[in-house]
Amino acid sequence: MINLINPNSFNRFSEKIILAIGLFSLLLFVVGIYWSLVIAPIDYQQGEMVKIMYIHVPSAWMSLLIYSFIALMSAITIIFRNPFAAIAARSAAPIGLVFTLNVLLTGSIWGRPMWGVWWVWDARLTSVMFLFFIYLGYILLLRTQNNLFKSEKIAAIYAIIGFINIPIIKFSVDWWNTLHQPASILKIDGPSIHLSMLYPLIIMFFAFSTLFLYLLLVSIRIELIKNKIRAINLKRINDIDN
Amino acid sequence: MSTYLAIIKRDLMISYKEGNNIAMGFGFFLVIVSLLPIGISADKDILSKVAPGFLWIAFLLTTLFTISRLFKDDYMDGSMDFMIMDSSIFEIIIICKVFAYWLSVTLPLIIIIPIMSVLLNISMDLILPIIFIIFISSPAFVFIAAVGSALTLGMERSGLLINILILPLYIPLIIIGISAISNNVIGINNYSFSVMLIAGFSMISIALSPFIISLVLRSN
Repeated sequence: MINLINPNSFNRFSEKIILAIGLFSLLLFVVGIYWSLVIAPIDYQQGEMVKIMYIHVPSAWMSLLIYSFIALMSAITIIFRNPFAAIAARSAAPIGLVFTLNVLLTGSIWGRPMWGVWWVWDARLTSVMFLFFIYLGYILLLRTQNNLFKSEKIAAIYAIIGFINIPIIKFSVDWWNTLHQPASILKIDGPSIHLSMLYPLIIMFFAFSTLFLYLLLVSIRIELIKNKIRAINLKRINDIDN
Repeated sequence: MSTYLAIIKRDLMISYKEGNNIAMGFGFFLVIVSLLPIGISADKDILSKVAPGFLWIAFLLTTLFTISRLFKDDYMDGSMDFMIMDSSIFEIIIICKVFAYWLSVTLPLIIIIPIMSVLLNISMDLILPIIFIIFISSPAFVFIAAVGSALTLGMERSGLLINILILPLYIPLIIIGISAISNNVIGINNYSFSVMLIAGFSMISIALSPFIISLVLRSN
C-alpha cells in the first residue's frame, strides 16, 4: 500500500500516473465528443440543441461531486488533523468553481432557445448559483486569512456547513415543481433516457472526472512545491537571525 | 449561572454606552428601506406587493453588517482567552453573547418594523403576521450570522466577506418565510405550517451554532 499521505511518496507516485491519467482523459474526451456530437441521435423536440446536454450534465455532476469531495476532505482535516487532506480540499476548490460556472453558462445557453429566456429563478438554477457563491466564499476565506494553518481549519468548518446545500440542489427538482426537468438518470426505477444518449453521456462523465483527477493531481503538486518553498524561506530567515 | 448573567449584562452595558451598534443598525435599516420607494417604484400597489420581502432582506443585511464585530473586541483585548479558559461552559457564554446582541440590536429593529410597514403601504392585517415571522426567524438569523462573525474573526475587512459566506446559508429560511408572507397576500393559507418550519429552523440553529462557533473560536 502506497502511503499517499506522505508528501514525498505522493510526489513519486503521482509523477508516474499523472501523464497516464491525462492521456486517458484526452482519449475519453475524443471518443465522447465524437460520439455525442456525430453519432448520437438528435432530439425530435430540441433538435441539435440537445447536444449541450453532454457538456452541461457531466459538469453539473462534477460540481456536486467536487463539493462533496471538499466537504469530505474538510471533515478529515478536522477529525484526524491531517494536513494532506487540507491541501487536497484547497486544490479542488478552484476546479469545482470552474465546473459550476460551466454549468451555469451552458445551462443559460441551452435555456435561451428552449425556454425563451437566459435565466429563470427556479429552485434548481437558484440553488446551483448559490453553490457557486459557496465555492467563492470558501476560496475567499482561504485567501484572505494571513495565517495559512489557521485558515485551513476555519475554511474546513465552512465547507462542512455549506454541504447542506448539496442535498437541496439534488432534490430541488423533485421537491418543487419547476421549469428545470426532474432527474432522469439517477432514479430508483432506472434512467428515463434512451441508451443511445446515455452511453455518450456516461463517457463524457468519465472524461470530466478523469480531467478533474488530472487537474487535482497537478494542483496538489503545485501546493506541495509552494509548501516546500515556504519552509525553505522560513529556514533562511531563521539562519539569518542566528 | 452568575457568570452568564454577568456576560449578558456586560455586553448590554457596552452596547448601551457605545451606542454605535444600535444607532448604526437603526440608521442602516431605515436608509435601505427608504431606498425601496425611490429605487423600485413609489406606486402604492407595487409597494404593498414588494415591501414585505424587501423588509425581510433589509433586516437580514442589517444583521449581517452589525454582527461582524460581535467577537472581535473580546478577541482583540484578550478577554476571549479568559472566557475559553474559564470553568463555565464556553458554548453557553456564546449563547449569552448572541442573546445580548439580539436584545440590543435585533429587538429594536423588530419594534420599528410596524412603522416602516405603514410607510410602505403594507395592508394592516398583514403587519402582524410579518412581524411574527420575522420575530421567530430572528434567532436563526442571528445565530447563523454569529457563525459568520466567528469565521471572519482574524480578518481586517470582514464586512463584505461575511455576506458572501453567510447569505447562501439563509436560502431555505428566506424561501419559507417569503412564501408564507406572499401566500398570505394572495390568499392561500399554509401560514401555520411555515411558522412551524421556521421555528424548527431557529431551534436547530440555536442548538448547533454555539458548538460550531466555539470550534472556530478555539482554533483561532
